[in-house]
Amino acid sequence: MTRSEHHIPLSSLSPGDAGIVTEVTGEGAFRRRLLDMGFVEGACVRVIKTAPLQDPIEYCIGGTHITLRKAEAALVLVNLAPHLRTCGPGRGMGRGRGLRRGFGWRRWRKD
Amino acid sequence: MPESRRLSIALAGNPNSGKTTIFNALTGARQKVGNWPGVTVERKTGTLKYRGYTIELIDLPGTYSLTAYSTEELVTRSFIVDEKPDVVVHVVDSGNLARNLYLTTQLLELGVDLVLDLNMWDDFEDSGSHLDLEKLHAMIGTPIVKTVAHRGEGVTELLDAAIALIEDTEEHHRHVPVSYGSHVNDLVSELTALLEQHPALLKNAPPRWVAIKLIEGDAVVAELIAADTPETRTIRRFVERATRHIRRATRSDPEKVITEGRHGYVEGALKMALSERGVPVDRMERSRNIDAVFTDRLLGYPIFLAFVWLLFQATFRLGAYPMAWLDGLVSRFTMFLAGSLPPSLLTDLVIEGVVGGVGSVLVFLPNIMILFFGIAILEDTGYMSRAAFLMDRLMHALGLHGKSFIPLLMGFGCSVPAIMATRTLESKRDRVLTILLVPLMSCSARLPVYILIAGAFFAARAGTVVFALHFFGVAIAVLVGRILSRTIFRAAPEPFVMELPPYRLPTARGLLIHMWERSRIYLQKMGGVILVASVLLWFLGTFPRATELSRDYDGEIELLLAAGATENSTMVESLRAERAAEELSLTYVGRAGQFIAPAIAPLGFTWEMGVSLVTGFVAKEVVVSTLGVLYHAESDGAESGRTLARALSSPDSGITPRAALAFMIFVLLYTPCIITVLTIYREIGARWMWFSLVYQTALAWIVSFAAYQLGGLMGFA
Repeated sequence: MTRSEHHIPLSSLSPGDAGIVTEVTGEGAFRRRLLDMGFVEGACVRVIKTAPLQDPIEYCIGGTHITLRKAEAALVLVNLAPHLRTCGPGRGMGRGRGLRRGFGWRRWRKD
Repeated sequence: MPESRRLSIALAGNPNSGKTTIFNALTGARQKVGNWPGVTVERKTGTLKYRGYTIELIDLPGTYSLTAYSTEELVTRSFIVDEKPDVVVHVVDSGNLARNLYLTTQLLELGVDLVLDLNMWDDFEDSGSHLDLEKLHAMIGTPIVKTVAHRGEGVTELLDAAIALIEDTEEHHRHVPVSYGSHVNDLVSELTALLEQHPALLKNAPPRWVAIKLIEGDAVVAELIAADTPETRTIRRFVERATRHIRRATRSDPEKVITEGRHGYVEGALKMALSERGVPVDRMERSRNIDAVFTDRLLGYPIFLAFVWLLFQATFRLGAYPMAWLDGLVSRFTMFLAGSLPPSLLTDLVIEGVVGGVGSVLVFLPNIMILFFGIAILEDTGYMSRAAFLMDRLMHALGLHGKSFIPLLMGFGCSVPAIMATRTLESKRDRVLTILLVPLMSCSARLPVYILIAGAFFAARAGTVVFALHFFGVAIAVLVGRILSRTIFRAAPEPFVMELPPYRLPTARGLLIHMWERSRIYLQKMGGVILVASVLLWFLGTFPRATELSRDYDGEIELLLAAGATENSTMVESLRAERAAEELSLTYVGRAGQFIAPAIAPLGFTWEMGVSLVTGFVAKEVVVSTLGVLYHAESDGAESGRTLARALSSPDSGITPRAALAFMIFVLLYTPCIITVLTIYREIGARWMWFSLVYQTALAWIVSFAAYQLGGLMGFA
């Protein structure tokens, strides 16, 4: 793979790709909505498909299918995770560094 | 046993969690639909009697979270904080526990008596997962009930659990509080203690919740401590210090830290309780297969258009049968009244004002019910959000949101619920723009006008004309949307975060309830405003009664009859028509119509059409009853079977086909009806109301003028 696999915008992933969320940039209502929908550090996101006109894009996160516009998906940074085969319900969440230990997780965080 | 005690139960939950199905299952048709005070988010309540309790059930708006960013979320949380329902039932989609329980954490922070309803339990079991309810209960501390709402399973157990919760005096519903990590936890506890010293500031909100919200930076909760007093200053300073501390310690902002804490809590709870994370087949798998077709690159749009076409055909073709039947019923009733009541002013009032007005609107009820039934199918199956997914790119080109498509589609039913539906749009900009475009979607109240005029002038191609008008409204909306989003609304449009729920088979009961709720709005509108309008119109069209006419019509008719002319010869008829026209032109309505006549003459409109446009402001379907009163009066002397359509298309009316087309375009585009205008006022204020009223009327005049004159240039009559 030629592209850098770390901190790449979610919008650059192709259908079928999966990534681990590293950061949600942006602000206000939009960022909060993404956080509420589970776009938190360590969550697994999979690209399902793009709309017929290439925008918006359907993603699967924590078992939920949601749509984001390309420009908005660019605000979510991910690490490409080609080994992740599925992002079913509950899967992925808690796989990253951040949420590994469930509640009280921050105490185990390294940095 | 105590006699009937009152109990209020609020239903909370994510959108698409089956909350409404539970509500429908419990209350059935005993629902009251209104608005939340101050906002127009729909408020549904219902009452039922159960085990000696009179239970008031409140269906809260569907939300994912309880932030201050969306109206629905604010409504939900302020209802829980201010009105303190006895029990909150949290309806959860068991197939998606992680995201649903995220809302649970926030409901728990509000300190309510909570019942957790694991809905769609059948889907969950089918997926092969196993949930240890004991362990989950130990974590969150609330009673847990399993339901399959669409089959009605477990819904009474929900009520049992709610009643047990309030009858039970012991504090067994203690939950493990969400931990946000040591930095935040300590700060929350300190702030809670500080807030507890000033209960007056809290306005009944739970102190720990307020503390968390202040640290999160919630703008609405911050207003509690906005006043400038020594106490609020202390609290504000603490919050500032806490925020700074969290930022430094976590290199992240408090909002994100707290959100992650909640997700972490849920993940922890599920780790303990979900002994088997089966999920061999993704529940979305089925939906994904359907979507492989429905949102396909090539098939997506044709299928979408086919659905919309089907909806139209069902509404108008299928609707024509019950419509004809109702029409016959109304005219038979009119004839019965005319035959049995003595001829008098009061009889006139009843037949023309009351029966004529209400009847002309009643006949369109079948159309409207079918349309709303179709929209309910689109919504309840989950296809509506796919439509938004398909349409977003196009909507975005108008500066709108894919979600704007839904209110715009609703606009084909009625602008009033459509404008209410714009509440799903989070940004004010998108809402205002969508609301301004909604009235350009041809609402069902305009349909009677098209059916009448198109039927009278373009009989063979009436269906095509009506379809073209709907399409034309959309085309104009595209144009106006593009212009407005490049001028007045240049700010960035709303982000597009929308869930694509799994496809579901809708229940007949749910569809019928949704159809009926909306049809009832149409009926209520008809029952009240249109009855008043029709009677008022009759009055304005009857008084002042003409005492002196320019010609002795009666004498001339008698002369003609004496000379051997038959009762219904053309000469006699035209004399009678002229007399009726002159009588009407002297009434208040006639005077108003003549007053605006010069302004609409370039469009080819007669003064009768002018009058109907004036009264059409009350409600667009009134255009039909006005034309009915005006043209029926004109053909008063003719045989009674003459229909309004024939009166309009006859040469007496003075309406040419191209004027008829211009008229339909005018009705499509000019100022929305008064109820819509008032809804706009209530939603986005007087400034936009006036804007909508003026721009649409100007637009209607210009486009109708162009259509009429172009038609003339192209040589049409």
